Amino acid sequence: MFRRFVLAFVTLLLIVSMVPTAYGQGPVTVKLWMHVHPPRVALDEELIAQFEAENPDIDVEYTTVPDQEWDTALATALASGGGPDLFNQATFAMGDFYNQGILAPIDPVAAGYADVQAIFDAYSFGDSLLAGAVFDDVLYGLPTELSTYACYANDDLWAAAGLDPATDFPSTWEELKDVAEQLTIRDESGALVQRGFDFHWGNSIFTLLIFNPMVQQLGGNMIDEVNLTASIDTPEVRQVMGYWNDWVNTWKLGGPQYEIDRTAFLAGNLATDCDFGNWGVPQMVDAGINYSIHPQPRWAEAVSNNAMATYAYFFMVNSGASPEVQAAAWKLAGFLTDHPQEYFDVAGLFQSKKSFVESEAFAENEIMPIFLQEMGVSLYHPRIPGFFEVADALMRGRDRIIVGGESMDVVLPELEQEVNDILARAAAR
Amino acid sequence: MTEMTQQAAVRTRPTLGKRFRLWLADLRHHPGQVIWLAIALALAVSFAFPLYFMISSSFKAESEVLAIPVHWTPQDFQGLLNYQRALETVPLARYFMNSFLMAGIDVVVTVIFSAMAGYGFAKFDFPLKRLFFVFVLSTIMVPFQILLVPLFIEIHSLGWDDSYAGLIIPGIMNAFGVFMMRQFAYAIPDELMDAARMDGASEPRIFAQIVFPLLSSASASLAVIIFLFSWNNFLWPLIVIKSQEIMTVPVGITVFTQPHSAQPQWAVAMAVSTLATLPVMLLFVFFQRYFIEGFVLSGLKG
Amino acid sequence: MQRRQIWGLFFVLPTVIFFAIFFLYPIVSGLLFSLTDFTLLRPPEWVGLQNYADLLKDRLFLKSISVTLGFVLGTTVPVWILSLLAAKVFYQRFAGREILKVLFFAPVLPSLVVVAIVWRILMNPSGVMTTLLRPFTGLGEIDFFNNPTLSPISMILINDWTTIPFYMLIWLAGLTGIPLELRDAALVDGANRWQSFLRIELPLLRPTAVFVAAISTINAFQAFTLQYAISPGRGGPIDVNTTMGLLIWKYGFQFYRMGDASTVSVVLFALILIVTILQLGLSRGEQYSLE
Repeated sequence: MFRRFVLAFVTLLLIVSMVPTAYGQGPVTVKLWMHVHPPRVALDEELIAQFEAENPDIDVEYTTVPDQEWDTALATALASGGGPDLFNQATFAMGDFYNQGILAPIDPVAAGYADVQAIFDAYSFGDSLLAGAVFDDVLYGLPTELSTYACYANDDLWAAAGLDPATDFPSTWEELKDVAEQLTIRDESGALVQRGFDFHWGNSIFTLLIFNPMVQQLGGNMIDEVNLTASIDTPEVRQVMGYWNDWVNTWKLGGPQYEIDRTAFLAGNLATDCDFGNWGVPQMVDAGINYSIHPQPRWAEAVSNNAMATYAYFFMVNSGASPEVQAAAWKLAGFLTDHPQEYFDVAGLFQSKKSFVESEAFAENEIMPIFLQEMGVSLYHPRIPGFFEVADALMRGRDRIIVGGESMDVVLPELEQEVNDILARAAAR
Repeated sequence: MTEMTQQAAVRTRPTLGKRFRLWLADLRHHPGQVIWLAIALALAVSFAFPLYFMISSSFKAESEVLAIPVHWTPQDFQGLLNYQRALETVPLARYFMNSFLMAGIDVVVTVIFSAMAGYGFAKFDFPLKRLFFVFVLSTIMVPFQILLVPLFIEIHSLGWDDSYAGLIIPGIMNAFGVFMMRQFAYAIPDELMDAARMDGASEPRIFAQIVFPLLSSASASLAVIIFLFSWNNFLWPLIVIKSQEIMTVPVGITVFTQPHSAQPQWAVAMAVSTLATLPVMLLFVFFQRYFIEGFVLSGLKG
Repeated sequence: MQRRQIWGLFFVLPTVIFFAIFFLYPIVSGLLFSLTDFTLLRPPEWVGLQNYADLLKDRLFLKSISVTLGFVLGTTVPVWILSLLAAKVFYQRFAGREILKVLFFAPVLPSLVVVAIVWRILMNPSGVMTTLLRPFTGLGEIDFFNNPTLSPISMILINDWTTIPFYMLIWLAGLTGIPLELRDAALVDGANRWQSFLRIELPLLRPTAVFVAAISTINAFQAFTLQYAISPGRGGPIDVNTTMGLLIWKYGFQFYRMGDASTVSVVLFALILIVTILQLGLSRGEQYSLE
């Protein structure tokens, strides 16, 4: 009796707020949510006005949400039955949203394609790059921004050490260590004044964007996103963890205690950095860094040629919206993703539409072919429910070994168990 | 308010030269105090130093802030350049407006309703009085984290997500204010109110024209403290704010603490921190007496 | 009901109703949420005491309890002693006292977010603090935030810096309330300063002492902002800074585990309640007035 009362009470709490959306006659309204990204917003607004003029029966309600608030904002909005009809979702937490049944499969005809295959054909490396929005062989979105990391060298710091990035840039992690050593400057007390290269230690998601791809190069993979299981106590993980550990504790070339690599690179205190995307270029220009861009190193004995993880943002449609609204939303998504050159020129957002990638303008671009080439061979990070919780656990495990000095024999099996538990719990909700 | 400003101004006016001479004379007559002076000086310098470093770094070039070896003073003096950059990086004017709005509403509502409730608890008898008072007072003891999740959901079901209402209303009252005002209201002689009642004044009128003015000193102490808490409030705004339009200063400036923020902007972060602290510093300098009184009475630090 | 009674209610009810809506209601619903598997993405389902049972096996939660207790110990005891000593200094009569008191008090003013930014610069591995400590340590780099042993100590130091001046002021108010004659009488009786402090002042300061202990404990239990804004990975390294306050945020707003977040909240509440009751029990018979 008490139990039922409580349950009713708690459910009531939520239901009170669920204002039913009325679908009347007249024009359809599509609620669109995008991230705050100032250069893009103006272009969005311009194109939306054009779209509304061409489609008088569709109104677009445009909202921007800051990046760091996005997942919570979307989750709460969807929980209340409100929320957007069309939204620009990053691949990171996408697994949670898919798991909740929030995503609607793509409607190719409404989006302006003959069928789903035509969509894959319209993109360069369509199979691997659209994979970010594929679950169980069904496509759920159209990409607005595709990203992966490449290596940036600070040409001046390299020259000062007597090195030329064009010829000396290492192609393997083993060589990277030697080159980084030459680029490292220490003061008389042994404190690091300039680092040659360092990883991104500060944010847990890099365990899945950088660490895991290094494991994948060796043929392993920490997370199976289909079966939602972890395999972490493996020789491949040990090799990569050993390398990161030596980086900090044996070779003393860097580590989590120093300024974040990106910040240090832009301040001219780090000679090489391998986790900037193509979006890093304007920052280099602002900071006055002479840079050159290079592919990621691989292991000498790599079995997979993947670089760092691919990640992306996709237009996705709320499965809770009515069919008319869904169709209108896909139509809008199709329209907005049909301007890849403008989005790249104005906002630096890359979409691998063949119409753009095969153009002369793209071929003449100094850096994008490198990024596209890396993306073509790379893999998406795992898109799992509980993404951030898993990343958090992986970082804790990493730090137990590297910062806390615990043995991998103890930590890795425990970590594997912990991540398996998280995945099981996240999948069940 | 104007009266207090004048008082403060008058108090700080006596010429510095004269004060300094008096100080020296005092020191010469009582040499024993030199030890205490030295200890207090060491304490004051070491506690104020981080704030000195914050302000001085806000005038440094970016590369100077973390320079090795440390730059104790700006060597490449930037003027207001970092402040200008801060204004370009984030809509700081908007953050300040929101923070002032939130703090202003918090102060006004807390002072008025605390005075009302304090007066009611002190001077009236009514059913359930004791229960009500203990209930209001007990809210002081409960940590905010307990409320965080359910309050967030409550605000959500009220449809106040990401709005001024959701940001401001849940924190608009403070049980401590009620308690403090009650203490002060006790001290008001009943005869004052009774005389007014004889003259036929209504109860709201007695409160507004007789009681509230007598509580003005307590109100000032309460006001500065509430302003400080509200200005520095972080956890609730962090949870409830989504959009830039209603962002307050403490939440807005976390952009500069994010490890993955794009640009190295330590000098700009120092400029922003200085700006964010400026209003409470000014308030403290001008209303020091009320501040200290309020602090001692409240026993709270946000 | 009499007219006067109605007016009394008129003055009091707005406040009471406010606290009922924004205090009592969320507390009750928080208790109920802790009995569900609420995820924010879906309506809650009843799970009974399952969350509580799960927490007992949850390493992050168990760790957060010891982290929180460590922080509470590190911030209450030293703060209690040091703020009393500082108050004794500023209680002396000496020239320039007021201006030095203002400088000493300044760290109370900035928000903890600002405090966090400033100290991240001061405690940079080869920054100001390392330089100041070099004569004693001889080290060129000190890893204040990433060393699992040092990191919680750094948080405590920073917290103590912003709170000691504040509690100093409360002690000072207590000291000022002691009649001078009492102390002088003790000195006349041949007691030295230290004895007079122990025998006369400290007993008279007991209400202040209890007050400082209680408030600093309650505040320390709720630690969140410094750990959120400073510690690497929000609570790291290896979660040595994941206080219960931070864990509630992580579970509720990062991991979509609202049910578990509510459960941790309830446990935190219970802990604070127990400790507060213990402290008040120790001072039984003392009536502390805020005046």
